[in-house]
Amino acid sequence: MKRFKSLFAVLVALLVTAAFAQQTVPIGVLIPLTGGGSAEGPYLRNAAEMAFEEIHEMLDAAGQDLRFELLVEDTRTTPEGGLEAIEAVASAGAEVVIGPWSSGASSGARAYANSNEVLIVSPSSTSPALAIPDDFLYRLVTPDTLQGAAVAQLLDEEGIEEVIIFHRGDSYGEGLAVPLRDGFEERGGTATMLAFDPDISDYATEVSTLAQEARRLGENGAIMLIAFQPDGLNILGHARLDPTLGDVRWFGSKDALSPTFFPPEAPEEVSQFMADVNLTGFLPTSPNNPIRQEFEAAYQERYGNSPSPWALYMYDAAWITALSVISASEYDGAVLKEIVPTIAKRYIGASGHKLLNEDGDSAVGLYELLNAREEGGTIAPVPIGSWDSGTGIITRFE
Amino acid sequence: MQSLELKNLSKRFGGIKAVDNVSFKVEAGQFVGLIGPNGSGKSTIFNVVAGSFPPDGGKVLLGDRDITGASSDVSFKRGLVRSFQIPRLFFGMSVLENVLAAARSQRGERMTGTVGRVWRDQERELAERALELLEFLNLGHVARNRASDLSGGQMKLLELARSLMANPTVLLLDEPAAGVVPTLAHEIFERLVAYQRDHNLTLVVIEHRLEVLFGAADRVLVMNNGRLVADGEPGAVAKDPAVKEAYFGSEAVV
Amino acid sequence: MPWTEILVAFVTFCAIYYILAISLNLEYGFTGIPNFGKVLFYAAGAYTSAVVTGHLLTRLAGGSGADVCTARSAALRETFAAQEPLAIMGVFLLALVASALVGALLGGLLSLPSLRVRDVYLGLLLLVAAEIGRVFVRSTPGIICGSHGMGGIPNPFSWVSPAGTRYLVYALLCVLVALLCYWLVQRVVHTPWGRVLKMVRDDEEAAQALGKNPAKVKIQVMMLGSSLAAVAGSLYAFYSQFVGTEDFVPFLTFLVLSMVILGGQANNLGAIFGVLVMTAIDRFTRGSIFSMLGIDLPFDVSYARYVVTGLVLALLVMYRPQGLFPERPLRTPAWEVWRRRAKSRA
Repeated sequence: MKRFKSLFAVLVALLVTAAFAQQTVPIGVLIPLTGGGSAEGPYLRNAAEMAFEEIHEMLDAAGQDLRFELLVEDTRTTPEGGLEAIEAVASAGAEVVIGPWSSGASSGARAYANSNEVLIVSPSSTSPALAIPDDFLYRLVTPDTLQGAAVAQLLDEEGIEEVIIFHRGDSYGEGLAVPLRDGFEERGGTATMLAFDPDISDYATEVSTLAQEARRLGENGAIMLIAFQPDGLNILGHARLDPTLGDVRWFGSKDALSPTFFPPEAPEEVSQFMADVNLTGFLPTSPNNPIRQEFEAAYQERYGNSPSPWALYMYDAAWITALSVISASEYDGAVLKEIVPTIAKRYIGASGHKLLNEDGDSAVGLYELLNAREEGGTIAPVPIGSWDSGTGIITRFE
Repeated sequence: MQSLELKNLSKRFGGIKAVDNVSFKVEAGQFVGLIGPNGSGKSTIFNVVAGSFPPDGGKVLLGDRDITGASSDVSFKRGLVRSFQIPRLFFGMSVLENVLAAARSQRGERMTGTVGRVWRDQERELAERALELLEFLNLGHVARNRASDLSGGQMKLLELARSLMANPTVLLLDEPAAGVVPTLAHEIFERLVAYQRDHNLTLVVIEHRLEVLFGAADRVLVMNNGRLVADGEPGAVAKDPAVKEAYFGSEAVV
Repeated sequence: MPWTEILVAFVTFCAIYYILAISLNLEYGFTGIPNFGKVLFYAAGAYTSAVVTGHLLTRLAGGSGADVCTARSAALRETFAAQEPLAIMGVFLLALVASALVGALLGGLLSLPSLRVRDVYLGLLLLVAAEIGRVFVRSTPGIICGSHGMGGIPNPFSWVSPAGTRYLVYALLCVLVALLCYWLVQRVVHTPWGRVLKMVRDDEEAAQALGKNPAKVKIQVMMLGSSLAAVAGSLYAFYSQFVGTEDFVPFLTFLVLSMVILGGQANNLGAIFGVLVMTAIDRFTRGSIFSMLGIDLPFDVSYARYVVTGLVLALLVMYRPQGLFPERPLRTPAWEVWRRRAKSRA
């Protein structure tokens, strides 16, 4: 009986603290901590935490009592995981979530968000099947149709006539490969798509298939690699040992030009190979952007490594969401849905301008053109130009 | 009521002739003992006759019907039932269920037969008979126990109960009294004989306890090295020098 | 109020997992077929529902069946379903029945290896078959939108509002279907047919020597089990309103397997407990839930919860390998006879 009483006391205490805790605004942070995207999760979490620390500093300075509480949930990089995660944070009172990162998790969470009027502000999720007007899903990334067009133009300008698109056989990989192929063929080039399984741990077989295909390429042939970090590094590691693949010109998707593909996060032999094959590609964020440089420096100082490209988008998702909540008359998903596009339109962040189109996706693409080369003793992605979706012109720096 | 006939039956495993050109006929209603040293081919004969694996040569006739190479479930449906030397019970099931499992033509055994309630009356009748059999073999008190919890002797008895539950016309028993205490072994054989006479069963029994077997069987067959070496009434076979040789080697004296 | 939402979701998933658990228990617990490819049949149900909904509902809504994968088509179906209760409920029922049939068909087909291969080899074979199926669908754009997956599979109660009520009604529907599946399985299993399943599990050769046809019951069991799994898949598709290949990974099979083992082999009532425990761990060891309780944890639950799952299973295997609720004799009228005779003797 005594034990029963003390248990009751604990329960009451819990309920009281729960009541006090409601003075803060809970925000869902849906990120892949396990599953296919688990490598990305920590970057995203760090970026969100950094953003909300800055936001809290701002609120302090403004004398506001408002505080945000981050409810971090793992999406397991699956649709079901995304659904479970949004159900959990929504039950805990979140009216808006930042994330999910993968298209699969966003697809799983989307119907629940629409029904229950919980707003999703995804930093990524590039699948074209999510470009739906008037739903509760906003995406801060430009659709990969834009990047595809940019790469097609780049290949053309570099005098490439034939390209093998070696891509992840998933929603992301195809979403970029198809517009690239179509754009390149429109310009008179020949494109071959070669997909690889995104879930396996070693790509020796896939790379030898790629080498076979590459032997058939003419003089102005090239390979375009569409990969994330773990698969990409493994592929490049195998490619380095193949004489054919070392003689071909390479291009890469945004991740391949991010710091995660270069020392200290990647082996030096791999980046040496990337420099040898003159690997070039776009990072969808504006160059010479002081907000980005500031964020990258702060991140580097705090966590000891460079942020992934997606971290920039997560940082912006956090800021846009927070600014929207602060402006809203009440904390409600339906109200926030009306505010976010307006805030986004006036916002320039680490990943650039965030104007949204009618589908609720980022509309302005200002990309940085990068090339793997030696600079100051180490090999790094060096900015050599930029691309603007508005003008469709590639500007070279030199 | 059926006879069982083997015609020039042979079975090789690799280079070894486990059964070498064996022929005999067991008349309907006869109780035949099958003896011989370990590895002489007795159990292999059972396995080939019951359809566990096909013979390399020869024929098996059940009554007038050729059942050579027929699979064991088909032979079972024709009335031929066999037991195993090491009890192969359904160890995850209760003792009563083990016996019920052997009953033939159960309505509820077909998936479609489980619709409706017709099978339930049959199940009650079968349960009556199964419980009578279990009591007959001193297993009535463990009917609800798991088969895996039985002692070695009880497992042997359960295997026997299961074989009888199948209402065989021809029954092949592989060492039904192995591992049970001597008094119980005698009892098992007494009951077996009683049952066999009552049901006019054609019975072939492999047994190492000759003293028990010879008192019960009508006729004894002796195997050695895959061949049939003696065939006759128990008294005659016991005196046959070929039998002594088979069991004890040529120099042995009994 | 917030707890209702999470509880409704919890109940829905328990119902769906329970159908999967009894389906696996039927195959593995009763018949001894280690169907480690369970997720394939679950996926078959989800994808069949996607196909039926994609093509039928889109046409009913006046759209073209050629572009069911597009975002526009998905939005069209969603709007239409919210306005036309009869259409969406009809399509849902049809999809549910079609899923059950496709599941049975696929189960029959994949029971063929079980006639030749046994034990762990069969388990691996089915596991691999499921993975091949998944990778094949993902890399073939022609099959239900390939790697992008298909959205716009509206909840059959899309026309009910508010959303809270809609999800509650759907949860009740899932519970109802799960109860029906339970009733059906108990009905066919606590019979002589169920006895044959256990015979095949315990000793296939002895079962055959007693006149049973192991091949036949294995095919029947795989057809019934796979049909149930497909029904679960269909319920999942209409709940999440999206199907994508990332969901149908071997992990799910092993989650369900652990539920069955936790509950007890060949014990469908025990499986309820296994389902509740595993789903509760998944649902309630979460940062959001602790935050609702006002508890501030000094470590990251997102990873720690996997330790909890592993610990539960390890303890179970060490201290109670037969499961929490051990196997019991099948409930047939034979036991009435046994009781009566026992009583009259005493």
